[in-house]
Amino acid sequence: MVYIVALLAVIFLGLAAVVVSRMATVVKNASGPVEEGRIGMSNRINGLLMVVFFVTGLIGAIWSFLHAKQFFLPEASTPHGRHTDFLFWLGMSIITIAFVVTNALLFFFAWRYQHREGYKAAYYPENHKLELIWTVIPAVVMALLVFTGWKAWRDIMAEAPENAQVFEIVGKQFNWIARYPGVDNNKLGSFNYKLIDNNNETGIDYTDEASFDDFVSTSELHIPVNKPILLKIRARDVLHSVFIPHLRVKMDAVPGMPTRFQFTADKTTDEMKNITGNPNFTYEIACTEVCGQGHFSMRIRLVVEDEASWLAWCKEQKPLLTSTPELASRIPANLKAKAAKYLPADATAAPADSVTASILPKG
Amino acid sequence: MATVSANSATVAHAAEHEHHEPQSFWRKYIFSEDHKTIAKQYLISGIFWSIIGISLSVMFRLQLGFPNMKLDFLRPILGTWINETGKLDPDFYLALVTMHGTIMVFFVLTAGLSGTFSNFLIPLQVGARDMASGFLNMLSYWFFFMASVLMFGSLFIETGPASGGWVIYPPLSALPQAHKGSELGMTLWLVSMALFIVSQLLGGINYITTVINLRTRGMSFSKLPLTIWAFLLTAILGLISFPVLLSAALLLIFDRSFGTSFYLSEIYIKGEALPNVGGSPILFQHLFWFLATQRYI
Repeated sequence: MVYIVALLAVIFLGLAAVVVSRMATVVKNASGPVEEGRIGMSNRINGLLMVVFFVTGLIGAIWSFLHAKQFFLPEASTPHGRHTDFLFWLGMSIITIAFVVTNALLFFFAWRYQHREGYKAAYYPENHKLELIWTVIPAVVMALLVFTGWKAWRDIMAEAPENAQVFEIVGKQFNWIARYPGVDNNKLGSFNYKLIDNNNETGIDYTDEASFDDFVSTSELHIPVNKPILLKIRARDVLHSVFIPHLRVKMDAVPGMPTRFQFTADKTTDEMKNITGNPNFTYEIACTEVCGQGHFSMRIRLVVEDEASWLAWCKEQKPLLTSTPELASRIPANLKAKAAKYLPADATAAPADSVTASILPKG
Repeated sequence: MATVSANSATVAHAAEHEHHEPQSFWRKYIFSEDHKTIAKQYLISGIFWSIIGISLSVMFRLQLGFPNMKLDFLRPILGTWINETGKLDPDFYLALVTMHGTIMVFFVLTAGLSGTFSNFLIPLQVGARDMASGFLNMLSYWFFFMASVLMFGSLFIETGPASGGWVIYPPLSALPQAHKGSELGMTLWLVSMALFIVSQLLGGINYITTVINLRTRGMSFSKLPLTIWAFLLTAILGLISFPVLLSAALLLIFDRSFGTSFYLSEIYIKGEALPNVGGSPILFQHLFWFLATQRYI
């Protein structure tokens, strides 16, 4: 490794020396008139080098693209992802064609129309027809690209359908917390950041009865395949950003400003294992907004499975209220009965003590 | 007649040349009001900053490209920023990325390039003897110099320089408890950037005034060299958008130091729910990118 760095340093220094010596020559020549006959071999060589530069650059770019292909993401696992991928490659193709053609002309012209003794450059100040063509065509193409992009964006950001399965993901330094709407009522309870503590990491509000069966996980988010998903996104402390590369999902998590993203995953984790040929494949939800020291390792696993096994998995989970009975003290007296079935027997047996009673009016 | 006018022109020309008053070393080379000297000052500062900025990027790219590489050989320079496993400390990695971005975008591309070329070329190419205000031009450089001293100094403090990314999005940059780089380093970043913006505004006003008012006879706008058009538009864009960045930075300073909630809302951090509500981190992003989008262009 050190040798590579040393080698690069030597090459860099060598090139720097060449540049400095060339600069010195240029400065020296610039001060005096160019002698007759000086423009000879060097002009032809430089003209040819232009073409060589373009051709080697083009070959290098193609090689680099083919080499990097192995690292590209597989086909998107969401319909909206495949559509945005199509738009990306469409835009990229148009840009690439325009880039290659204009640069080919640029470098080829430098060689073809190099200085020749006895030739005089023509003065060609304007051509309105030509200018009109090269202004209107790119403008129309650009407008079409913008329009198709805007349409795709509008569809992706549309309201989620009624039957969408709701989940919540909360970012904090330095992990994600997934909250599920629960084992029974399929509704996310409300939240308040002031209720956050070690027992209640997402600030679930237990004065809302929809909260009673909510459960959380910091290691996995399980979602059903082929069903619209509405991901509600929050951040506890600083900016984070939900990034699910294989689903082409990306949305910032902003403290004080809940965001959302709706999508439908149509390939299960198991199917992706076959497609990628990687038996250890897992979908990953990463953080893609610098959020502090542990940003690089902030991730949670995403499991996409068929609806039956997803439901079965949900049934196995315990509401936060069951696993953390201390939270029972936050339930108002009139809802205690409804919460009872989620609480372990010993927690319900304990009477609402005076401490609980004093907290209640505030909730 | 022709002879007379030719003679008087020669006399006037000679008089111009004789008009140079002897200047002290300080006035000639340090606190100079001459556009060429100021351009060179910008050039030298810009070269200094680009060496620093590129070195920082070499460090984090070595770590990124070769994650298992032992970087112990950098310990004599970086000390404890190289951890015991011979890798860059994660906090320092973010600091490197942040300072590289800040230095390259603001101190090299904006000040180093624009400061050098606008100052050097505008008077020469529009046919003016110097900038509209040599004094403002001098102030512009020395505000930039003060900004540079603060930014450079922030590289050496114990908690490290700003490290929330060159875009310094709050709340990360607003909360010292969120990140080491959001402590003193961030304060220095903000103060330095405020001085930097003052410098850019002074420079920009000067470039615009010179191009509009000090063109030589016959130099109409349609005959203005393209380089000057480019400098003029750059200066106008800077004059429109830098004050917006200044306001973004000022509001961030208020949030950090005076308990306001421009960018902060509903935050729970380090076991504490902060009282701030109603702010929006997105406001900062809008203000920041109002400047930065055109800076990129």
